Amino acid sequence: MGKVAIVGAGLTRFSASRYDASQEEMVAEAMRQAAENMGMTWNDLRNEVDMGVGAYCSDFFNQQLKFGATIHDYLGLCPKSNIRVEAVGATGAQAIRTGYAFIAASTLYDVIAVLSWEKMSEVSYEQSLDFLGRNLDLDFEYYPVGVTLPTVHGMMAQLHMKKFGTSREQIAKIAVKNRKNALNNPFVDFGKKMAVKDILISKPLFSPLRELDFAPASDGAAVLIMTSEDKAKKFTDTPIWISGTGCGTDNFIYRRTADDIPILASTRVAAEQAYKMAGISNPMKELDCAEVYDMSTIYEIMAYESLGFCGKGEGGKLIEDGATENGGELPVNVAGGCFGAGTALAAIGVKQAVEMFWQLRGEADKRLKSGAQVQDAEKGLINAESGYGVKSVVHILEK
Amino acid sequence: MTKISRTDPLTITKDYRITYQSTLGEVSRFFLDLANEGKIMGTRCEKCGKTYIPPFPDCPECLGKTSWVEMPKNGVIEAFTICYTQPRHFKRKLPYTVAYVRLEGANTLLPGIVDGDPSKVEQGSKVELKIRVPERGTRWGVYEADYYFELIER
Repeated sequence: MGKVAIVGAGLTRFSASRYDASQEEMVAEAMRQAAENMGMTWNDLRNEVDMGVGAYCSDFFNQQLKFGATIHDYLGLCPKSNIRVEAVGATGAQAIRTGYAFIAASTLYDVIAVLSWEKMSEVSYEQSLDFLGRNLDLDFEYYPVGVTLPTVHGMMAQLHMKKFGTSREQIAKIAVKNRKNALNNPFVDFGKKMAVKDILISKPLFSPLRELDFAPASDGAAVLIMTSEDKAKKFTDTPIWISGTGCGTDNFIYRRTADDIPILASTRVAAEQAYKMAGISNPMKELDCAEVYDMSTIYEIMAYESLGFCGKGEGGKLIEDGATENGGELPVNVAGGCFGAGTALAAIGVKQAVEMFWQLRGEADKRLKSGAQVQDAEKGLINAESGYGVKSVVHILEK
Repeated sequence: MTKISRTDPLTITKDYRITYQSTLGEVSRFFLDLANEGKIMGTRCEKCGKTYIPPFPDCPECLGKTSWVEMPKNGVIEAFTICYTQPRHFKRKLPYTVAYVRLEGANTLLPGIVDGDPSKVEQGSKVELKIRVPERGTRWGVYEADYYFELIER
């Protein structure tokens, strides 16, 4: 199987509401940046592109149908090939994986543009809880009981604390870390210096989690240019290779048990596949940095465990020990993650790759801010998730 | 009806109403027996020896057709959370407790509201399933009957 590299990347500003730009304008903004950073005109770059992977999660939030292909019209990418992917918060990660498959596992295409975006801001918070509720089984969880996505996170936190003795303070530290790290990211709005007690006195939402335990909704777009080993050096001297990719799925909550619910089984499967491909046996030692899906505080703690950064139930201890802080043994979400950028569904999975691309090329201090650069970073992990782990995707990126 | 608010850039408010007429397929039996018989019906796959509630008309292990079985109405809370907000269209009195309950004999969990004081709910609390006519705004879909859980006092 051939190797696949990321050779270009672009981001827009992520914001609680990008009322200044339509969805297609956001994607154009990101792509313009990517072309500029690659030292190419868009005209030259789009001639090289064989296929677009259109990644936006929700026809509910975004309204335009078949947007994954119609975005080609706005960008001037017709008549190139196209596929649209959807996987809630894992959409962007799935887009990367799909691009990988078209380049590496087949000989169909050489150069792929990953185009991701989401606009969550055009509906009210209560309406967004309705859309997110459709992540649950409609007939038995959502319509009759009103279980929605953050409800599940509350239950996960409840069980994690009971089963493993994780404390409320340890859980809150994730938000403190990521909001502080977001101050190093000029593309995001939610950077703020906070204390554990700020999280603990915020409005209760789904016990034991409170308002500041959840990343806010947001709008944003991110793009990548991916290509084969043959073509990579044509675009850049420093391609970043995708050395591992993995994906797993998990059941609805009612088919899990109290033992399963605080563990991300699908993440474990995805990580095992990616680690095997990349030849990683000790992630904590072999990875230099990681971007995980911090839709809520507890989710990052569970991700540590399922990605093998620590043992089962030890996620709270890992954050408390400072191992995942900037400057720690394995910095996680160094540029703020979802707490910093908001959860612009499809765009987050690609934003993780854009920031990791910059990180591994030693450009994070230039493209982001100096505090975001992990010294001598050569190998990183990115992981994004559908809701409560119904689908999980992991990639290993390396120089 | 559309409404124009901000003018630079232009923001338009619009309502879009959709009416669906969805079929519930074989799972309809659950809702019909709930309303007409006051029973909670699960499904059982004899081949795999598993009992599913919510019901699975097709066994997720062997894809064989399952048969309907009446479930006992007592169970144990395996997961729960107290909700202080709710999605649009739901108008329950806040806060309320959502729990996933293992009914006796079930291989799956049944989600539902736990009536009463949220502070009394714990992992492992014993509950009894009760049936009532739902209040407006507390569920979508089948309006004739709803089930909920009541804590069994020690």
